[in-house]
Amino acid sequence: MFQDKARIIANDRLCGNYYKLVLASKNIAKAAVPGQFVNIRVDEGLDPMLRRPLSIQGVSKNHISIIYKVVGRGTEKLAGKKPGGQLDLIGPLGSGYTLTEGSVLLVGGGTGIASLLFLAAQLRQNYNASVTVIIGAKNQGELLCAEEFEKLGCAVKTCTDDGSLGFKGLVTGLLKQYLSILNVHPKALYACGPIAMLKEISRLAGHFRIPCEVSLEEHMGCGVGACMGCVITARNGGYLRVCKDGPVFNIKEVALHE
Amino acid sequence: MSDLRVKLGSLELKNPVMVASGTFGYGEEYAQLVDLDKLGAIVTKSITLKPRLGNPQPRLFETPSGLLNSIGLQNVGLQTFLDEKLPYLQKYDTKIIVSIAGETIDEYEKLARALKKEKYAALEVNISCPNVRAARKTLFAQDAELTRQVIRKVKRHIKKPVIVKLTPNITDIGVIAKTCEKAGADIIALVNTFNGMALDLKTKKPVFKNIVAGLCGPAIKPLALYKVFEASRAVKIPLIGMGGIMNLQDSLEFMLCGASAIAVGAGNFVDPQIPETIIREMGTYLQQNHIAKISRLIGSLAC
Repeated sequence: MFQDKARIIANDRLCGNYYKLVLASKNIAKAAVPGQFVNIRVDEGLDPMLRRPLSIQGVSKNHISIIYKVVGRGTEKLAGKKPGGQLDLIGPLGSGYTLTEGSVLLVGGGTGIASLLFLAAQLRQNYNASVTVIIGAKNQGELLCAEEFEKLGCAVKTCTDDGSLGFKGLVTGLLKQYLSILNVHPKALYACGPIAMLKEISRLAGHFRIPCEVSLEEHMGCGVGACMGCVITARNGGYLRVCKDGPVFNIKEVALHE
Repeated sequence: MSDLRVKLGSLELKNPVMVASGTFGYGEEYAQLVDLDKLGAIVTKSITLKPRLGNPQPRLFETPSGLLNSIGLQNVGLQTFLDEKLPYLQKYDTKIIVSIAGETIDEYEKLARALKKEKYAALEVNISCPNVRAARKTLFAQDAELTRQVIRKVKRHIKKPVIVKLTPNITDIGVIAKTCEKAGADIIALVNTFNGMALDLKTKKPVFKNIVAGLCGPAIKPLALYKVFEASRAVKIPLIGMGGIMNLQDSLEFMLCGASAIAVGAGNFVDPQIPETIIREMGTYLQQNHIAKISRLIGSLAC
């Protein structure tokens, strides 16, 4: 865990309200594993006051990249940041995905696809896994990272709400259809996206008996496990901290509520 | 060399900068980011007799320059605290202040009895958490008689300095501060969070299940500062001031108003370096202004 003043290398709009941020942080780039996040202070001001937790989408030698969507004051300010400037960030934080060999399935919607790209890169490069990824978006224009997954040698399946690209409907619809026709099920299922999507994915994973990990999002106070602000209900009672015990959880550990 | 040491009765700190209960976990969570040895003191998350699950989600709601929270004192409970958390903290060269909370006077007494012989610097009695009042209408710290009884029972067992943490949600904090002093409290810490609420216009419901939540962060600083000022006029025992402290200026303001030490709370979430930065800048401030000791500033408000 490091606190770095990281130089902004790039901060570009990808499409719609989606942006890609590249930051120079050797410490964090070296230490990060797929599924972890960084907690970014968007500026020196106090509105918003709290840092914004964002998943790491990829790392290179000295850089980390992040995909975010402008949804409020914090991300709006972030979108205004120019290359050459600095951002104060803490990371890498939280737990990562369990890495595995063999045939695996990744399912992501919206910015949820970001942490899965980092995961796919590791699984392809270091585990020689056979990776299929299902990416969902509102429309073709907002579909993220498909080319990057293809470059890594993943089989990419797409779906859009309006049918402008690939399967017409939700990722969960495509996932159900895909799993129904497979003779041999994947060894693991990894998912990141809105909570309603994750709920349905964990139901399908249970039905098809596939081990499944999900990456959760929650408003956070400290980001390091101290304040107990970002909890989620545990299956066996009590609460787990999304920032420290997660953000990646086995679906057997957590009870997902909308 | 500037002298940052402060004395709060028999509690001596190497500098007046502490981290506030509930914002710093059990210290270990921040150990990779903060040099714990540099801090004046660490106040632990409030410990209850049994582990507490805390409140349902949502627990946080960000406001302009502030944060509403409704954690509900989720903590590991006394036994795990003694077995795992306290031994970890004892390794550091800083003063450890153990914070306790109970739902009944009896619980406070049991906690005090259990903590009688442990190794730490002082005990903070949190009688002002706004988020666990389900069982009772008022907080202990809103009732002078209950406050007196809690302090008496705790003092019966604890020979170390006893710090009482007060709520600002009271008409005249001077009255309750005096009650603490008379009942034998050694130090008063103030303030805990201010009562607040947030709404969801879509559902027309309050954001928090308990309706009320506690506001912290820079938004409350002027309010907290005045409470410290009021308390300092009412009592002679030392005060620990807190509420939205983000920097040196804030810290010195609280000290001028009568606080012998200060605590950084929500500021730790914004930037974990804030306490260390304040300590460093405090030294520079003393040098630049030719002040030999930080303790000279305590209560030195000109009015």
